[in-house]
Amino acid sequence: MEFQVFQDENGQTYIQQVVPDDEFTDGETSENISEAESGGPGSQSGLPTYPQEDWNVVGSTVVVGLTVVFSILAILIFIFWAFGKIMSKPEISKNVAPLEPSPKLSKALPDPVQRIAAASSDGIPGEVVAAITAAVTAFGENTGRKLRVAGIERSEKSQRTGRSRWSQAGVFDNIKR
Amino acid sequence: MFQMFTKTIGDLWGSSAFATITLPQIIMLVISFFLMYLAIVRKYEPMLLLPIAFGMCLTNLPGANMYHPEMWDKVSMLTADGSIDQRIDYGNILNHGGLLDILYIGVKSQLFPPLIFLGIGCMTDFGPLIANPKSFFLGAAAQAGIFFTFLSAGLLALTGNPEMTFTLKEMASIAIIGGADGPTAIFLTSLLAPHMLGSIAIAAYSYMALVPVIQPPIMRALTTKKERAIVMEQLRVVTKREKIFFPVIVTVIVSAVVPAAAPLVGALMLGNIMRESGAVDRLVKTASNELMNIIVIFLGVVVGATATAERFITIKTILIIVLGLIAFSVGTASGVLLGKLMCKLSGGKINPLIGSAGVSAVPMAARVSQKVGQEENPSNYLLMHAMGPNVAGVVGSAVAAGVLLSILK
Repeated sequence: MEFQVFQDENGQTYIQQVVPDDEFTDGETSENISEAESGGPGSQSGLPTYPQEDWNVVGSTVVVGLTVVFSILAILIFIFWAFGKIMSKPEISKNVAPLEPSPKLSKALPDPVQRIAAASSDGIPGEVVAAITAAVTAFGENTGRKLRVAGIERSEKSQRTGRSRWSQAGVFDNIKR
Repeated sequence: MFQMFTKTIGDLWGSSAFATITLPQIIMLVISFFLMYLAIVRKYEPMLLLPIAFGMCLTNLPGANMYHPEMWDKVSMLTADGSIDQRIDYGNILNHGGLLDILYIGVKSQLFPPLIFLGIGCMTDFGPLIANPKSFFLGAAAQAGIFFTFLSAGLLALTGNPEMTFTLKEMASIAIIGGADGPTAIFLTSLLAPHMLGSIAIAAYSYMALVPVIQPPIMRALTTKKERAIVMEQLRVVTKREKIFFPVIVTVIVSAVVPAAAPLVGALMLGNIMRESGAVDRLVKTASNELMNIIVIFLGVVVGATATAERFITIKTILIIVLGLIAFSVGTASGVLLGKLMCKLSGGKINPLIGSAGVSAVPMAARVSQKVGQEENPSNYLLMHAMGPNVAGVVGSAVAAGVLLSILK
């Protein structure tokens, strides 16, 4: 065993004993493991070191670990479920005034999204219709043209060019400029 | 004159690496070159694998003296008042250590992994998780791989072979590979089994890079075609207020129950609240770019440096690699199985493929869910649904690490 005696700046005397790292560094094996780690009298945690010393510790670590992980995340699920319910409602009621369609207008103009979605033969969802309609409207406003979406339908790749519509639009846009 | 010339050349040769290098060191250099190849050519997690591989190369060059494992042994101090204090002699390291010893202080003091988590928090959108909090369960289920591997590593003790027997702390460090979260694995291993840091980090990052190879066969084996083709409902819109409260609530709850997880979860959520608040854009930019990149370089090189020949070329390294694969596979399988259960309970509204993303490995695991789902139904977009369990897995693996640390430290 190696000892070192030295003094610090304040004249305090220390005796230093060099011992292996208690964190199993540097090639420690089951043979040369320190007493502190082996769960012996000098053990700091009081836990056994190797699984064969106490399988109960292994089993309880697994059970406790899984239980704690699931419990914490279950608590978070409940909190955020409740939080979502509470937080999203007032924000909608405060910021967004309830839409009450004018009876006159609703008679004259049926919901365009529903109308286009209903007209499309291949069951395009309302969200997609709304997104395309919004894009067309924005394009119309930017270019100063009044555009109306008459219908939307899925198209396969163009037979003639072998390009998708998006690809064709890109090519057209580049050529035009 | 000629004699002096030959003597000088002889001395130079004697002190060079070529004369003093050992066979294990040559093997380690070859392994490091192979890892560099994987990082550069195959693009396997190159951001971390390349610095790790280069760190391995540096530490195994004889005479370079860049990293000294022996300096990290704790010394026991008997003070004048009779009390004994065990501590690492940082003064000695700062005075006599090499470059990599100095950088290793960042790992040993648990500085680097939380800083990486800070950057991850700045880059993560928890919106999909807040919109569908049930995803937390999938993130928790995927952590089953950690505890299954902990048990499996313990069973190796039954062989009676000391070479194949792990301590409880080593078992925990190996098991955390199943969390598929590099910084968490490094954080836990640096505290419980620092001598295994190199092997465990390399195994963890290798498996994270191999997510697209390991996960799909397990996902296909455990699900039917019909289940894989399930189209999930669009997620609700999450308000900014919810996104700001999320990091605060998670930090308070997790840190209150498992204080050992606070450094990781706290840093992750600090980054996230900085992002979601929108008030500190400059800090977010720094934390998620410059700071994170600097830490990634330091962490990678230092972790690679711990893989010295005498520590790495052992039967235990092979066992770590095998157990890591088990951890990863079981984590994936348990996530998918819980996904199946949730699918049944919800009346077929949940696609079980999103369960595999619970192993974290953000965002690779979520992309794999998306890809496997699209193989059955090309118009199916599972990515955002899978991001919920994916980020829940990050929180789950940090909690699992905290639990292991609380019990075994």
